[in-house]
Amino acid sequence: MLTSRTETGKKPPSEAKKKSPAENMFRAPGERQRHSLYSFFELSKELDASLDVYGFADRALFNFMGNLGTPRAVLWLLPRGLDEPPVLIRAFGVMEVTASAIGQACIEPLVGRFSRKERIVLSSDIEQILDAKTQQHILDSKLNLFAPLLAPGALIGMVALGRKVGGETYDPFELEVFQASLDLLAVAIVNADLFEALQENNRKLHNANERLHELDRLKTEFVNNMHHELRTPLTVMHSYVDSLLEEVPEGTQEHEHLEVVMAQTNKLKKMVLDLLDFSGLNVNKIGVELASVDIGQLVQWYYEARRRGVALDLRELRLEVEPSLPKVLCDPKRVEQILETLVDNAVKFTSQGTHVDLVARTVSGGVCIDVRDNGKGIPAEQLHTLFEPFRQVDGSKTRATGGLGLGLPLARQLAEAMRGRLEVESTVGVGTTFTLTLPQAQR
Amino acid sequence: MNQEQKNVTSSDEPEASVPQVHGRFQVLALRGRLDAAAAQAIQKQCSALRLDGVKHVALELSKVTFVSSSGLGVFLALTEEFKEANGSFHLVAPSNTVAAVIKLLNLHRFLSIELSLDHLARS
Repeated sequence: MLTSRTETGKKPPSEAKKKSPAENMFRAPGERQRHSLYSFFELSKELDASLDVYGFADRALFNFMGNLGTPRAVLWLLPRGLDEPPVLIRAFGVMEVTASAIGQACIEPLVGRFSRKERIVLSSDIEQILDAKTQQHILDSKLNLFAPLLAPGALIGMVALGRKVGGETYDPFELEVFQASLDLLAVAIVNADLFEALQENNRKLHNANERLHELDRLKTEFVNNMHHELRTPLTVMHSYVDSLLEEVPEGTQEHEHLEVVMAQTNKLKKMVLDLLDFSGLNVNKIGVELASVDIGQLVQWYYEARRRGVALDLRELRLEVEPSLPKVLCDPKRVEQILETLVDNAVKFTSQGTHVDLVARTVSGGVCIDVRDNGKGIPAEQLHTLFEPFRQVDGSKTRATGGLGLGLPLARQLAEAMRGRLEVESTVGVGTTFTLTLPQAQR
Repeated sequence: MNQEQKNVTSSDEPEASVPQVHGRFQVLALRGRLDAAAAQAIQKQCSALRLDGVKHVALELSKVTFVSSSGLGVFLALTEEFKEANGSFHLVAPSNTVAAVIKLLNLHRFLSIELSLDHLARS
């Protein structure tokens, strides 16, 4: 940049004006500072809409670590503001259990400082007001500073970083770029949340419709069964009473009594016919259309469709598909229906920050798909009730079919209609695994 | 390259090899751009090796044309991760581009960098 110079080589006073931090940012002369800015631009490109919150966390934290030169970074989110403890999303260089404890213990002192517009808080600033156990956690974690994730009008989370490699301090320019990057991350998360909420609501609406149709069909099947079961004895009763009326002389008390019985029998017959008319005459059984299906591809597709919605609930959906799975004989729509029930249950009955694993593996004669969670588990004595219609292990939470307790019984019926099985294993305090087994397709 | 190998993807040249055993080390040779997507994939692959019981992992970087901040972040994260597991993580034969960025950010003091696989074997 050319400037005019006096004879002594100094710049004239008019040119020696002080630059603002923003100007300094964009006229950073040093190679190191240019790299820092470039990292910021990289991050803006990397936070694209295809990611879920865990994807954002990975990309942002690696970006911060690489740009600032620290081997430690942690991200927590506050999905319900300060009403609930922060949820650990990712921790690099720090054990998850330690990071979780630090988030929960430090949120209160940090919120006080964040609300006073402090964008960077050193751990040494809050150490004195923390209990001994938390102080030890911070020492063990080697986390050095905390910074808020601020969306318009709300604190949505926070990030912590360790010291720089080699023990150097962060310079002001680096911290400015870091804060700008945090703002970028916050906006990306909020935007993704809004978009995913819309998609998730649409998906739930669609699924609710499908379930309503299924319930309607079950109701029709039930009514058809009742119609048949009631009609047979009524027909027998009618014909015997009719026969007796012909044999018993008219005008006798017995004939009068038989006429009363006949009238009531006819009344019952009419009620049964009315019931049938009311329900409509649809005689459907549980229909499955079996085909040879690439189950690995189906599970992969289902994972892609569900993972961002699950991330919206701050659980992580993870996928593990064994290579070279054999094709299976199944109805892909029914398999999807079963997985939907199992994943919905896993999300409903676990806490935020946990994970749900979708695993597809080969077994003798077919393929197993596990849906595993690390929630609180189900007591052994309650496992057998899971597949009984209208029963609920935990009546305080609604089940996948709106609280009627039909999700799992239906899922098992569907599995068996496809000549497969649906089983469950659970350990209290560890988690639950539902396993759908499907037979291999014959070549 | 064997078409059945797992691929670590980057934005324009998706190339990474199956880990090769080199003495006590498992070595992954990378090539192309080490951007955010590739960095994430490498982190997952190396963490999986650690969970499988592998103690010492190295990335061969002579054919890496570009490394982003995310790539550097993953190097730092894996160095720490393997150290805590009583193992080690190394960068081998970084290309000029990679070496320049590492030096610019003073990360060479923290990362374990070897000039070649022979140097790695002797370390």
